[in-house]
Amino acid sequence: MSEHLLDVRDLCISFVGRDGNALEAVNKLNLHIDAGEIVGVVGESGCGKSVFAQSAMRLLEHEQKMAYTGQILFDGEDLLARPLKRMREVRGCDIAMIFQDPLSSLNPVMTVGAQVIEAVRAHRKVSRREARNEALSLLERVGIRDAAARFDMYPGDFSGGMRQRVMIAMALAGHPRLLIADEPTTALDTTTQKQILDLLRDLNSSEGMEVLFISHDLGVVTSICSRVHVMYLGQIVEEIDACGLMERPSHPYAQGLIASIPPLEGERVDTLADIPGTVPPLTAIPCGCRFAPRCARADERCRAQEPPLVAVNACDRSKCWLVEKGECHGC
Amino acid sequence: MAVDSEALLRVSHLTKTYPMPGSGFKRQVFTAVDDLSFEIAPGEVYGLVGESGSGKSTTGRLICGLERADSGSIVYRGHDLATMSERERKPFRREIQLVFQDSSTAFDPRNRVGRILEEPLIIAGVRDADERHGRALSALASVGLLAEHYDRYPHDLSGGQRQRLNLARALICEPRLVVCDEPVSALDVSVQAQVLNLLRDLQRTTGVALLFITHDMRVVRHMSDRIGVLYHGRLVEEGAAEDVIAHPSDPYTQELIDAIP
Repeated sequence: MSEHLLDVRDLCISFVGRDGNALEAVNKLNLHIDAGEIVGVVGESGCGKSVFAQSAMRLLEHEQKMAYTGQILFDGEDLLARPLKRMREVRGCDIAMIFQDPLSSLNPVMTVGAQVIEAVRAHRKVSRREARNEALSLLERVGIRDAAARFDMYPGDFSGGMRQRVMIAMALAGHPRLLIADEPTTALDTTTQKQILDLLRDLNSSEGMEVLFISHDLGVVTSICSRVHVMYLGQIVEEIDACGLMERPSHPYAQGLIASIPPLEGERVDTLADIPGTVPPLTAIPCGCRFAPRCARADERCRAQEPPLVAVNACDRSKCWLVEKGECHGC
Repeated sequence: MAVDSEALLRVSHLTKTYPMPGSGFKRQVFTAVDDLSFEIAPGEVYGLVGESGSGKSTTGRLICGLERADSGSIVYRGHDLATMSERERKPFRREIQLVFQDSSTAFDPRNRVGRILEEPLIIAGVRDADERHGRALSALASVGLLAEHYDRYPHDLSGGQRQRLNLARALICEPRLVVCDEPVSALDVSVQAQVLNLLRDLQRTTGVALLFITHDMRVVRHMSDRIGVLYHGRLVEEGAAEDVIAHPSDPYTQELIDAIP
């Protein structure tokens, strides 16, 4: 038995093409969420973070043949072993999910209230009146002011931030124990983003709902998560306490990402540090360390042998041959 | 860079309204740009920041002539673009170019890279095909693309490469002002740094002035000499980039800075 609510072990996810060839999008991913934690997965486009998030809900198999190895243990049960038809019992009830673009996740010709009612009644047999009252209180819970007046409005009448609040209200309808948030603030303005992050933080602490937070934005991830996993080409290359990510990442890829963010204070630099080259396609994964071709410090061993993900110190694990072990200096 | 006595572009009291959808006979209007005034000196990088709906993209489109202003003037080297007819405006189109955010929709998908780069030259009246070919190749090289990309289609390129192509197309006619509308917002951080470095290099070597439109305070601070902060179509604050971000005087600017994670 696993003591974690979500415990992912050696997960490999492949897309299987019509010709039988498999493309591996996620490789040997290990991740767990401790009680009451917000855990982050961060990486550039194409690193497999969304594939992982959607696989946890088994959302990809409807359209695409997938091959999995490893386990996604939720409350001790391997979700990958569950028949796909019985995933509906998990979705929304145990694990809920919110997506990047709330407009395309909401039905444009159905009122906001009706959609939240639908979510409530999908999980529990309650009367219409009860469902309506619960939907109202959910909308109020996620900070929609004047929820009664807005109940019969359409998603198109709402701003981006309000739509994401509606999505969160629908996600809360089944009282999930885990929320998977896949780039929930990417389409929002920074001031709205801050409000949504505050809301998620508040739900995490008051309802005890654990959150798996997926984002490409290092700043957002460090501000909301307690632990962060940095992904590159389907692998976790670094797992570190959020407070350490900005200050002392040990993997060269994580260091490169952080150095390429323009600073908000201090002397302006002429040239930003960038990571040379681009993320290779899944059809041409380099052998050895997957980051080696773009890494300035890579040597012969990096190009030949894949490094293991090992603990560098108490709060940092890194998948790099060149990282020296040391003390964790705390946050 | 200090503001030259002679501004390259002087926008004064610019206003643009759109009819509100569904307002019918009542003629309610949405004011996208509201009495906006600012100047760009030759070779200056002027950053325009604000959230969605603040009117920053509309401003860029007005300056490029993609929209007509309701009132106000856009004086470019002594000529008011806002009141010109299309025919009068044509000679100035070459000198003011535009780079869009979404590089996947910025090109005709049926045109190859070579054609994309040469089209502005054809419009500018470069008749000699060899000269066009040569200039297209050197434009490719200047943005770090290869000669072999000449025969590719835009969808063969990655997002970062397409944004380089976007810059190459904007710069091939040697404009004096390029309006960059969120040029790196769709890119990953590591690629964003590459494109920002390239844009800064190109700006230094060619001396082109940039109107840099973005929602990202970090990017605007890195790129701009001066910045203006837009809120509901109005300029609420303007000043040297580092000063505005270190010591904002307007509460809205402060709010924007506080929201940065």
